[in-house]
Amino acid sequence: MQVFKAFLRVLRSKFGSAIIYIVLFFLVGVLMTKSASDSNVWEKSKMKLVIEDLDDTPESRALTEYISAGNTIIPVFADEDDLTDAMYYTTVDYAVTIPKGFADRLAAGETEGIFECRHIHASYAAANMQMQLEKYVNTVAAYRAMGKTTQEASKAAVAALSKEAEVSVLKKDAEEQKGENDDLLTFFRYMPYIFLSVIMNTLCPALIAMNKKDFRYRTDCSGIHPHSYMLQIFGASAVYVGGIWAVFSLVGSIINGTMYTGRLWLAVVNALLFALFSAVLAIFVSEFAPSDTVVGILTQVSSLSMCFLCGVFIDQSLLGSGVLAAAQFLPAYWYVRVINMLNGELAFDAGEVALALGIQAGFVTVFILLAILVRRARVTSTVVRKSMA
Amino acid sequence: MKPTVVKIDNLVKRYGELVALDHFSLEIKEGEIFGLLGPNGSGKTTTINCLLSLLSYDKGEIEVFGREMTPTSYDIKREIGVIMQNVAVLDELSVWENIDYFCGLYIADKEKRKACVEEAIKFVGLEDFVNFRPKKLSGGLLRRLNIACGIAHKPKLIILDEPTVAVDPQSRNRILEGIQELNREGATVIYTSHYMEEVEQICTRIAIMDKGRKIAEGTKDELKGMIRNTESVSIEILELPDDIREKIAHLPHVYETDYDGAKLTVRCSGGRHNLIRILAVLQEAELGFGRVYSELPTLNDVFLEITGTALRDSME
Amino acid sequence: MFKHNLAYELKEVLRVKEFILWLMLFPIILGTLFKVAFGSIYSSELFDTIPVAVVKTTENEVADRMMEALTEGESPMLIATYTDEESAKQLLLDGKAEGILTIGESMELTVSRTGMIPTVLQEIVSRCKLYETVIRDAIATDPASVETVIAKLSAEVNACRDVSPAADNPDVYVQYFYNLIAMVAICGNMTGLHVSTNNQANQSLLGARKNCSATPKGIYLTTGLIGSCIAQSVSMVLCVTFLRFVLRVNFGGSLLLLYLVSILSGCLGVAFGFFIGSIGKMKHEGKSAIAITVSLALCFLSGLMMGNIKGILAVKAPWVNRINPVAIISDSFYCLNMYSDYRRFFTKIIAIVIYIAVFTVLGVLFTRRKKYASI
Repeated sequence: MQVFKAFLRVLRSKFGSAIIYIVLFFLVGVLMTKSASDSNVWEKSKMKLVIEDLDDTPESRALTEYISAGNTIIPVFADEDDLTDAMYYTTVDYAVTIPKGFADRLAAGETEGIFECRHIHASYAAANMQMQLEKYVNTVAAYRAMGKTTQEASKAAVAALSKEAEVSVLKKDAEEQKGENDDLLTFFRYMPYIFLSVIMNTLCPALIAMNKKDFRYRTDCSGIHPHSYMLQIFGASAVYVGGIWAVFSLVGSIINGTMYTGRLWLAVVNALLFALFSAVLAIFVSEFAPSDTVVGILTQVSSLSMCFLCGVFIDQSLLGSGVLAAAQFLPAYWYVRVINMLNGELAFDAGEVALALGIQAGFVTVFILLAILVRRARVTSTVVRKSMA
Repeated sequence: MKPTVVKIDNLVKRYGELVALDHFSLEIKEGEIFGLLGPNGSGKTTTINCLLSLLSYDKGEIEVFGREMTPTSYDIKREIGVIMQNVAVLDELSVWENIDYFCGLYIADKEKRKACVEEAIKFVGLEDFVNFRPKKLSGGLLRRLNIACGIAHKPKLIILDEPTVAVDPQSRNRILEGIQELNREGATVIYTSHYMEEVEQICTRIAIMDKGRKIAEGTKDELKGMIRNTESVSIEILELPDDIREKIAHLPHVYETDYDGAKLTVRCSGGRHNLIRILAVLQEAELGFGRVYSELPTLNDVFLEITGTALRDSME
Repeated sequence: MFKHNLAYELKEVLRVKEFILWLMLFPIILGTLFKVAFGSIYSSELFDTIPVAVVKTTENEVADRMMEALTEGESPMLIATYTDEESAKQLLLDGKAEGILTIGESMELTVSRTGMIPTVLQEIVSRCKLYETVIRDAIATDPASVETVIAKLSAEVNACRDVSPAADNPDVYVQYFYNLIAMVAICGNMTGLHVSTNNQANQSLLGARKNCSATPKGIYLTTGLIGSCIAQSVSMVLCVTFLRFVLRVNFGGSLLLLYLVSILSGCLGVAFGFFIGSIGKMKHEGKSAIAITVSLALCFLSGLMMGNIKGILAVKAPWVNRINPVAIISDSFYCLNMYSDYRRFFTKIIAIVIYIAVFTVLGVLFTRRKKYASI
């Protein structure tokens, strides 16, 4: 147990920097959760509109009232460029300006190009908005054809337009619970990034300290078997990682407001498996005793690329089939799959969940074996080199 | 009278509560190899760093070449070569590039610098390694590179801060000879170490420091004269009755005896015929003895007697 | 002396293996990955014909005419599959249809999810209801006008005059590449950090050695910074060239300005590292950890991990984007792409230059100190 104890002591000395990383990534996680829950365009049918009414007549006000209904209205921007930025970052979907003289032109039937419209992305929202505006113009024209004044026609049009069709929703069984634990599951969804960053950034320096040439030679010279050495390292790392996992799970339950129930426990187990994977990856990488800078690079590259490819940052449904096929060879893909099955993105299937968890456990095992192999190879190669010298 | 190269007057340096230098004064003349001796933590490196104007100090004055030393005294710095305790070279540059780089911090002229660098490489014997990176050099070679980086610009004052730590005897001798050669060429040398033999071998004058104070200063012989011990007599003897030992201990000039069951050591201060008197006592008692040695005091004896024998690092 | 120092500074920086790995390999790996992951997302979010399943239970002339109008033409709104109820449901659940339009007395819509596409479908179905209402009103008020009313209702009008800003490339996913470049730029802090470490006596032995040399500190600080900036600029240029010409990322805007802003932002990274390295007595490793952590946090706030965070911040806390140097860098790429006039772009450039100046001046002020209390 000497290695186990010594390693935990080394880890304790790195605790300061671990705290910095944990706090930082905890904030990142919370921020991500918060921003994800109010920005996902694809979940909502509300459009974010900017309406600038320069005409300010009963007609224009009626129109404004009509297009405002059911949508989010964002105040007019003082600076045109701010509007452009907002549209680029999709905080605004569409901007309409009702020009001066709108009512007069409507009365005269000169409706060609009557609205000034701004949008950046040729999105469905833009198409929809355009459709609504033109429907309004058509309807007013229709009522005017019945002999109504423009003002009356406008009023009647808004009344007729507000009658919306009923929509029935047909869903797969599993999707019913969707939305209940969205915040919590979003928090869990970003866990791979947090775990990889925190664990690799803190575990690797401690492991590398243990793997330093002189220290390693000294250990190799001692009576301890490399397997036993590695097992103790794994053990100590598991204790450390288990602690981090517990902290984040606790934070999760605070976000949730209550203790985990039912299927949510699966998210917790899922997170534990991924935390363990991060740990064995860190152990594996550290066997090669890279410098701190190299560890930094590897952490960045592995965490960012895994999270982008596997649908942590961007929904799996948006990624191409080729990307997803490749992502299956990474544990984060299976991690996100479990989360997606829990939040109703995918149909819940106990067998599928078990498979995804099993595959992650498989990744953990494979990397444990790899780390042991590397360790053994290095011990033997040193011995050979020494005997040749 | 040769001109003064370094003058340190009443230097005080505190690290919080700890007084690292306690009213320390020193004067070094041109052409000297001045040894600064002292146990670990006695303030040798602090003195050097203050002298180089790297460290701020609380009190005192430092003059080099008769002028006040400040961080911007570049004309003074140009004449100083520093060889640090730890190797400080750039891992990414080759041996030649390293020496050229550091030399370039002193000498702007390219041609002149080239000549200096080549001379320095020859001087430390690194001709076969000019294109090596420092990481490929052995400990001794690395030390030699470290020295070459410090002396390539031909300084008039060379400061060596324990340059031979962890160096094999061959490299060490080479380094020591080199220092003497530099001195013959006109450089004044300040040399800190706690290897007594080295200091004894090359230094013309020595100061011993302890706890931030100068506790002794002088030539080797002057220092040896300051301690009681002038001669140590060792006799291999298997049987020594207590009364005979008492008798020896009471001989004139003897101030200490030490017997471990096989060897008797007698330390004397002053006097001329100590050995003969001791042997006379043994003969009179008809005691047989083996080999007999008589040693004059070494700097080591001086150092130990002056600074005490207690372990030092525990005080830091 | 200046040239000598600069030459060696460059030699040294360019020989650090990690530097090459970090600053050159990093954008290549992540850039390729971004390209693979985001290459086709944007186009999939753009408006496209919506597939629907249509189930007819009775004849309905108005609905038929509307369906005709929606499914024909150059860019039709819908693509309809006429089928029975059961297979329509299957199509919907399999995701092969976005909705089921049931045409009976009136038109009904069934969808499987909420979102923008179902909303568009709802809008279409509502139109049918609208027609009924309006025609009913017409019959009630002026039966003679019914024909005209129907004509007016289905007339093709182009009421919307598009005055949208002309972006060279409106693909919102390009901002991930902006942020990638910004990240590479801010990672220049590693070289900047080395400059302050290697030149301070209390930070490194090399610093001590340089401090007691005959060369004034100003010279080796300046050459150190210039050398790092040059090295960083090289890696920035390589990075941008790789993204632009190998991965063919469309950044829009002028290529020359693109390179200019990349080089400037690389210098910002160096200055940032120099600044961090100059504060306090902490050793290099600690400062390096701080620099990396701070850089990552800034990258996060700029949207490296989540593209929409910048948009959210622009509304909720606009000052964050205005002071976050990484956001400023990525915004400058964005402005170059989005705006035809360079007003905004140049404010960003000025902000970058100000940052470089402030970091450098503060760094110099902190490292200027000639003597140290302890080494």
